[in-house]
Amino acid sequence: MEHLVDDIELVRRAQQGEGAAFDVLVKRYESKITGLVYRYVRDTDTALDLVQDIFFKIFRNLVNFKGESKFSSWIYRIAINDCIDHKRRLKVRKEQSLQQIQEYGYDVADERDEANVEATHLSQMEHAWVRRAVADLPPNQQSIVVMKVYQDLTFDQISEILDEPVSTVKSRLYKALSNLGSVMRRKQVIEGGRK
Amino acid sequence: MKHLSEEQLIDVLMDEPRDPALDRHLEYCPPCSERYRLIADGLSMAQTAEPEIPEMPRPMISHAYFRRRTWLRRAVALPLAAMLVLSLLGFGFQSNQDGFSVQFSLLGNGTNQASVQQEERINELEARLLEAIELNAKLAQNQMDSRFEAVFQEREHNLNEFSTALNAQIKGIKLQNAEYMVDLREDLIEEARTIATRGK
Repeated sequence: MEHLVDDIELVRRAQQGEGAAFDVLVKRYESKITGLVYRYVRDTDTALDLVQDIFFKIFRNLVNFKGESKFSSWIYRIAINDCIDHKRRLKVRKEQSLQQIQEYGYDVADERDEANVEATHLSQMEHAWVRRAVADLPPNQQSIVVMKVYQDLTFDQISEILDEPVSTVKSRLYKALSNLGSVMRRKQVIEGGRK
Repeated sequence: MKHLSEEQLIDVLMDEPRDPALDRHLEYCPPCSERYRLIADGLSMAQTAEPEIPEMPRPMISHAYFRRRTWLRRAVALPLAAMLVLSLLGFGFQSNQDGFSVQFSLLGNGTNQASVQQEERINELEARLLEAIELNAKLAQNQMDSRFEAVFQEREHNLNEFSTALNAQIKGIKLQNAEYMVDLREDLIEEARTIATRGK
């Protein structure tokens, strides 16, 4: 029957100290948040640690949730901010990232040319390079790619989660995709020149 | 029509509700269609990079667990905070094989036995450190002296070898010079004889 109760009611009950209500909320959002976090950090152990931290933050701050935004947006906001903080902790430099991507990409291409490895391995390496390119995007661009392209959230939802206007969200997505497209083009030019 | 903005291009790419005029503009405007192709490439790259979520163990998340965690945090944090406040007020804490003890000395006036012991220990360590520094300096001096000695000996040896070689060379040159003088003298005598014969 718990699945029929809406988030607001569960939150109200959890705020009054009802542990079961909190556990229902956890069950409802756990897999979504785990998916979001894993797609962001791409590492199982890190994702599990972050998910636990995120729900602990939710547990501690639930009393402060006033219902000004949707509960789902509030949870996503905490999760995304945690992911961004994690990335910042890893000292990923925004400005140099795309250049690094190119360098890694070309190195991979070199290895492929020289080693003449199997097609499946080539594909794996190509995927690794592409994953790296996405992971090295600036945190605020990567979070929008994760939410829009991988989690299939609407622009309105993302706007509410990030507390930014829709136009800003779209503009950031444009920059992220444009960055990725540029990297892809340059790589193609280099590879074309070598053949 | 003006060129499409970033937001309008995203609307077309992500198939958001939009004015059909945007799509028509894209068909005949090369700069806009080039920008569109660029972000379309970026989107396909992002889609290729989408990670498959592996099977993961369920993290420990429940109301009961978080309550315990919060309680544990408080259980650790509160005594630590209390100790900090008490130590600021002049209480000293000591833990050794005899157990845990608390002393009090207002503003550290020297009556605290723990601080006296600590000071003695510091003095002892300082004295040992000075001894070590002195010993190290002596060793360094000895090493330096022996190195200088070795350098001087080597220099002297080299000088001897050099002067022996030089003397040998000078002797050789003197010898060559004497032989040359003898030859020259003989040549001159021979020439004088020839001139005298012609005069006769």
